[in-house]
Amino acid sequence: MKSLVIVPGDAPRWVADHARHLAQRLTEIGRVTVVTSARQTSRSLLPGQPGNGSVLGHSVAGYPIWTGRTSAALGLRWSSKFTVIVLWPGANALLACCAAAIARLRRERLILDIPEADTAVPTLRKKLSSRLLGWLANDVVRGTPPSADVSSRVVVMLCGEYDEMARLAVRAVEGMADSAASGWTWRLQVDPGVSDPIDFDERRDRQVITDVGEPDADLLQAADVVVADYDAPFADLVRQSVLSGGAGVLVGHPVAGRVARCHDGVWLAQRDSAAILVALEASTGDASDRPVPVAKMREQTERVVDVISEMELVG
Amino acid sequence: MLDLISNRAISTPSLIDSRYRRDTSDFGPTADELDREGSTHDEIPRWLDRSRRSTKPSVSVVIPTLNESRNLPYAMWRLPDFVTEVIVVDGRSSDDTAVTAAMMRPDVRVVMEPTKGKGAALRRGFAEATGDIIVMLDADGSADGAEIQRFVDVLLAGADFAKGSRFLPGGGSADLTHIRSLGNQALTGIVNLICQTRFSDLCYGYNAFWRDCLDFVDIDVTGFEVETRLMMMVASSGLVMVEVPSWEYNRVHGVSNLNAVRDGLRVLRSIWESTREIRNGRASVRGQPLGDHSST
Repeated sequence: MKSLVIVPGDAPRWVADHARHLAQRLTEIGRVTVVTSARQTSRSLLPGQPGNGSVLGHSVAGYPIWTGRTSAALGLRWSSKFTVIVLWPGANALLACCAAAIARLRRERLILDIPEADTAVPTLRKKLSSRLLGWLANDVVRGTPPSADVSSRVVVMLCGEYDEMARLAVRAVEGMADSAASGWTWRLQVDPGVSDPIDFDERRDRQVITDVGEPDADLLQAADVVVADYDAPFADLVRQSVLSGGAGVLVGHPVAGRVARCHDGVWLAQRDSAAILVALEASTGDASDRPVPVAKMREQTERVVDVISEMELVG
Repeated sequence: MLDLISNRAISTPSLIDSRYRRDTSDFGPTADELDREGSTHDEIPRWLDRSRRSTKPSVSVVIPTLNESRNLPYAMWRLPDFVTEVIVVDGRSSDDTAVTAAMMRPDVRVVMEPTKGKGAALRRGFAEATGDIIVMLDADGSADGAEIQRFVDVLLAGADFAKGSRFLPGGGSADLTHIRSLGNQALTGIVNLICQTRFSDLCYGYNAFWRDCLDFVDIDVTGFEVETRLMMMVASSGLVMVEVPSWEYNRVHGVSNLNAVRDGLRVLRSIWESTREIRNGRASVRGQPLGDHSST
């Protein structure tokens, strides 16, 4: 069973993360290809950031998540059973309409995934495209409207028993600029013996919560970004966070000084607070870029997967 | 000749050594002789003893800042491990630049400079730096710290001053507008004409040089024209300045403090003043051959 996830236009980070999560969930029913039309330019890359890879990474089950370009959205690809078009307010409506029409001509089941409603006054072009897309689609999955408390992103730093990581976390939290810090909430997971050195100055005291004990599922579910040491046993949790729609940063990877990001979306940082802060910002985008929190995006993904599962059962 | 040079490194006196010393007299008097004679006609010394330079130099990075607290991580995150100190020169920022800078790396030293301008901040930073090699780095995060390796390699290969260039193959810019690029090319052409050089990029703040070069330059400007002043003084002194390809990335947060017209005019004025100085007979720097330990 093949599925196609099309992301038409230059997608913000949260949409790309959502598409990856959706693709990784859909690998459970078969081969998945994620089609992105955006081209990487020198303006969008940081030093050491590699370009696109042949796959977006591997799902939890181990299957590759394949990638495609605009030509795949326009029909130059093998047929798939399901085509999901992810739409957001800045999506390329023309490409979305073309991709939708081609998918229907090829007798694929078309699902529109609209995680964020466009609240702006629609132009004539947008009205026409949304009508056409609604008419072509077999099903539309709309996200819940964004709430007011989405401005803060949650960083979970998994320190465990590593004193050095905890100290590094303290420096990173305190090194964040005041103008940026209000957009972040930090949760530091530490083992009981390491809780003593976690002491912040007054500037950041209110924004940091220290969780003593093992990292639990609720903590990880609430995280926009999971940060862990490369040598620690939590490194797998970072990759899982990326696969499930969040972001992840591995600290202390041997090539972190030269390569900024892995092919699967995990960011790498050296063991200094400057590198951690850059990786955090780069992995999640600007605060204004992410109107829907990661937890809600995960719900949206599950709803799309449910719709596809029902379609598969029916027919 | 190769044998002569390899034997010269051996400290035991030999016939070859003495012959070589006699040969090097063609380069002029030794540093000690110059000191004894007090023969410098102006305040700028005329002798550069490259043999005193370390083969494993310490590296200081000087970063002038003005309200760059959000960009500072981007300026520092890819600094190589061999960098021994980072000097952040601030003093007029209204945000928390100084506080955040101190948290970026353990080897960061924050210096407060009350005088306005990039030139003043750099001058202060150079004075505070203790490294054998000094690297100038912009705080807006547009320069890749990992490129410092290239600059240092060029200096270790014999250059006195490694100048970053966005217009060499391997270099480039994601940030340079057409207007700024055109202005830069025009100003570079003027300076090349005056100094009889062939450089490709004048107004770029990513440079590195041996600390002893500071004895031969006098940074008496305060603004963005500091790079022009520095380049003209180094070029007219006869120091070895080599261009290094460099990529300029986009500024990540905020807008630049640089004003293309106002600062372009300041650069022009600096070129005019430096030209007058060169015409009035600026002394050239004579260098002792690399690796000659006879005077030490």
